[in-house]
Amino acid sequence: MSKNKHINDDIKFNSILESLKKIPILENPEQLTDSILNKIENQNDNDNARRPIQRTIMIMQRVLAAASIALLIVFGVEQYIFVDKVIQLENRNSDLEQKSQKIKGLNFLLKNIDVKKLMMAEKENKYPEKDQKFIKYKIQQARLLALNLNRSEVKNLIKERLYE
Amino acid sequence: MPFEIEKIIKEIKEGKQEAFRKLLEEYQQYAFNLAFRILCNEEEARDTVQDSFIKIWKKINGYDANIKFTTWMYKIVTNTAIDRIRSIKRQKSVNLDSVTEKLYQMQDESTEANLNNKEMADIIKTLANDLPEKQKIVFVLRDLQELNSKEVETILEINETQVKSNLYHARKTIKEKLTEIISFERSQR
Repeated sequence: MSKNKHINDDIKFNSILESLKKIPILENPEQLTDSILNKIENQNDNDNARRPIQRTIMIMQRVLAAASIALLIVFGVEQYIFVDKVIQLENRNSDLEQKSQKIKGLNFLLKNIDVKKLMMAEKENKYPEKDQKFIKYKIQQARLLALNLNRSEVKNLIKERLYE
Repeated sequence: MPFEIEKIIKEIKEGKQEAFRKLLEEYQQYAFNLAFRILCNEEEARDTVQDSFIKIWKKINGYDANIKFTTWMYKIVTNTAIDRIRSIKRQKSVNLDSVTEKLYQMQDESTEANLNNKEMADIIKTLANDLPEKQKIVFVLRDLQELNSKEVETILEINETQVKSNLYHARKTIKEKLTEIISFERSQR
């Protein structure tokens, strides 16, 4: 029964389909043809008229795009220079602070020993044995502290101490 | 004189409008058939044919001679019609009684149903408008326009399996709808 129903449904469907395949009537085909050709002709005329304007707009767009890119690059470079200077300034400040700490430390050390005697004694290698280790240790400390300092800065510092 | 499509297209590429007129006269009916079956409206179909042939004029240099001209034309018409469907806010409603009456007459293959454009449009709309877009287009291209599967694949840029699947589901839904309408009509008599 179900198989028969399906076959009947198919027959009805095919029958209706055959009717729907009938070609729809196109009224006034010449009018449609003329209308299409007129539109194409109008478009061609419009395109020809618009061409110089379109070209100008295109050139302006490209110039604008190039200017925007150039502006971005300039801005980027300026930002880089600015940030770089800020970083350099920060580093210099932190160096200065570290140096001032080290100079303080060196000063403190140098205050606790007679630098003149020390320099003479070290030159002649003539200081008492019991003090040798202590002196050598102090000199090492001072040298380590002075490592990050400018040599001329250290020399000046020691000279100042010597001729105080 | 046989219509030499290659010669006509060559002349159109050279910008000869007279050649384009010949092309229009030869093919605009086919384009109208397809547009009408998709849109189910004469006016919309005419506008679609107009837009499609303007596109064909503009894109003629991109036409690949390895594809049949009609397939390429149908592709442009189908896409233009689909864009039109999507832009139409609301379609005119169908007089269901007259459609039902007509369908009841048509189911008998011994009697020939003389359909005018409006009746044809109403019937296609009733049976196929609720289908998903792709199923409807495949149904129109295969069953109404009678294109082969390869042409449908080219036009819609889908594979053979998708064509078969969409067609199967479209036919199934339409048959069910048809049965519903005809059974209802029978019960009213």
